[in-house]
Amino acid sequence: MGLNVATTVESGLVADAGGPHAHRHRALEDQALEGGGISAEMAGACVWSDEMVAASGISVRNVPFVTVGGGVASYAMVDALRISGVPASMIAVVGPFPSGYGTLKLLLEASQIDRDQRLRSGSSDRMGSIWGWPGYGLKEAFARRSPATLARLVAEPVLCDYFTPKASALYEDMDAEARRISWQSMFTCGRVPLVRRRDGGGYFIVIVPAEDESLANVQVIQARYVHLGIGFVAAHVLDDMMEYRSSTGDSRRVVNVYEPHEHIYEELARNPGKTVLVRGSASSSLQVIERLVRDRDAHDTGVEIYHLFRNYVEGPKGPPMFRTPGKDGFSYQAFTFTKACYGGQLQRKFRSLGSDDERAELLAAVGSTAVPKRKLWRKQSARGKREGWYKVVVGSASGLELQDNGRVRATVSQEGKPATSLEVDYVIDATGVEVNLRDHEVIADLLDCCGAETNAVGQLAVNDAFEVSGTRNGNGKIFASGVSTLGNPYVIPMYSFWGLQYAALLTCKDLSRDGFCQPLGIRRSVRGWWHRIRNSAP
Amino acid sequence: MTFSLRGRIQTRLFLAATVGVIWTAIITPFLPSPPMGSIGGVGMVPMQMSKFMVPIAVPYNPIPFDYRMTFETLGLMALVGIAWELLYHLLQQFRWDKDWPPLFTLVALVPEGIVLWYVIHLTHVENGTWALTSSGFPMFAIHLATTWVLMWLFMVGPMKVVSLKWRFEGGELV
Repeated sequence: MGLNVATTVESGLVADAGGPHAHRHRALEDQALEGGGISAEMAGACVWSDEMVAASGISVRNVPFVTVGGGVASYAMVDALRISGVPASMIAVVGPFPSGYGTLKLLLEASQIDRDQRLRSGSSDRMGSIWGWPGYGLKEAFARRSPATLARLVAEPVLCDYFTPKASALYEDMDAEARRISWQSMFTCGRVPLVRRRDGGGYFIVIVPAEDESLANVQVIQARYVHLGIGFVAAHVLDDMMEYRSSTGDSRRVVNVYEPHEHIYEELARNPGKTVLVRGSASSSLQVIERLVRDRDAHDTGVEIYHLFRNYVEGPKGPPMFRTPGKDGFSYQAFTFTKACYGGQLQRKFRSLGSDDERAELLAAVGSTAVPKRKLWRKQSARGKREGWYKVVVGSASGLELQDNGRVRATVSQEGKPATSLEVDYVIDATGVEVNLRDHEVIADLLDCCGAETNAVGQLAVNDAFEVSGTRNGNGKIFASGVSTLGNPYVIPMYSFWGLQYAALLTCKDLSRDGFCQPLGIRRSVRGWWHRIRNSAP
Repeated sequence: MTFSLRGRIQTRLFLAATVGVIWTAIITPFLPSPPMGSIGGVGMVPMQMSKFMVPIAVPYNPIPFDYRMTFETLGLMALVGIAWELLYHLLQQFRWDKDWPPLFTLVALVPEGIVLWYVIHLTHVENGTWALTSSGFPMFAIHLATTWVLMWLFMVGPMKVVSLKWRFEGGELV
């Protein structure tokens, strides 16, 4: 149902740590461009008139609906709109990658989920079909003629682990649906530094085409609706790691799991007997350990693994009706959020809570770091402990130093105990991801200039239709979905395909009231599904 | 499945009223019909008066009586099911994920079937012995089991196509 943070990152611009995009806005303001471009005066004005834009000489297209990001959140939105009867000519998608899973794939591969690895999502979480049926499991069972897969779908999660699809199944599914809904015809490769209110309603969206970063050829779309499908902008590198990097200039030995770090596995294969410190107990840590163990067996790397837990979970905890399963250091949960957040009773409960703060509190309880209970992972760590190459360390790393012998010394401190230190060759941080809203230039600009507001968990405040609070302009609306809307009123798990599709449906419902699309009732839903099955245009 | 309580109840009633009704209408003539007299209910005398007011026996046509029994069983399954759903919802509270795996729904056929067998006797939908040797048991068992499995199959699949709201809002239809 839900996904690992590692597996559901909406598209945004992947960059090095620190969010360099924040500075681009200023660059744009400073740079009045010859031959047509945005003047400093325009960049500084929060409302643009048609005359202003016309005078600038920039080419303006008129497309009623524009989605910014171009990743899975945009994809879910566009798919729902197309199924609701909006023609492709009325939608524009702006993003860095031509496929809806471009950014997602980068992050997945960095965190060791390549095409043949399985995601942390359920059979019916199909990005390529809003109905989710037939699911990935049924498809795989028929393709491989595997009664065992079929039996697994019946028995999950009681008698066996959940069925989880391979990353390749997701990509193929998304490609097929993209062709069907004419995704390419709506797509513009580029980035969006600014969205401005239009005098008289709607918005202007500024696009910097990917092939020309000089800002000399910016384009502008005039739209009634804007959707922001912006996810993780950058891998969040912890402070002590940043400190290490800046003091030593070394970012080869100390990496975040979402940064490309294939070089570590290559070096381990070349020089056997090295030591790796894996920080954090999120599921990406187990994905990394799975890779290390696979290489250990295949290439005889003899790697030693230290696994650092900040909180070591001894066993199940909590009262009978709110009892988190746990063992061997981990809290167990099949998906990123407890399952009932995906439309079930917990979502109802969230809806009934009065304040943002109460919701934030419950969100922290049901969305805390947990890993799926997979047999393979449990077997690997049991074997590693037995054979002595997998060691658990409890505490938090409080400092990293580069030694003269080329190794990294990590100081581990634990409350009430004297600090200890470890000497390792590599440090891979898998403590989870954090989203800093202002890392993305267009959102930072929206907060400063368009009146967007933040919620109790520091993300974009949205209403029940996922419209960004404070940004309405005449008949124009700005919507958002994805991780930047975590803490939304439905507390929809925004790290999940399911959540993105649900948010898209709620937005469509609102747009159908505006008369922009058709409501998705029983008839349209069944007909739409039939078109999808027959692979005919919606 | 991630049901809310309302969603559970609505789903059961919807499935019984659609898949249940259609399947019962199709399957009933093919079920092993119990001998006369074991079917209870009111007005079930397979006799007619001749025009001379002399009772005569007509050739026994069991089908209307079978329909009565299967539809009443289906109705009771839905109705008693509301109480079952309350129990399931309570049990769901002890699960961390607050979900209800499809396998649970499938195997619930066994306890629900046993209770329903007693309920249809208590309500005189079925007369005769409660023992499993009852001549009405094969009909009851085949009807209930096939209906149940079909309702389950519809729930884990096509239901999502019929109602997107159902998929995204805890099994709720309205």
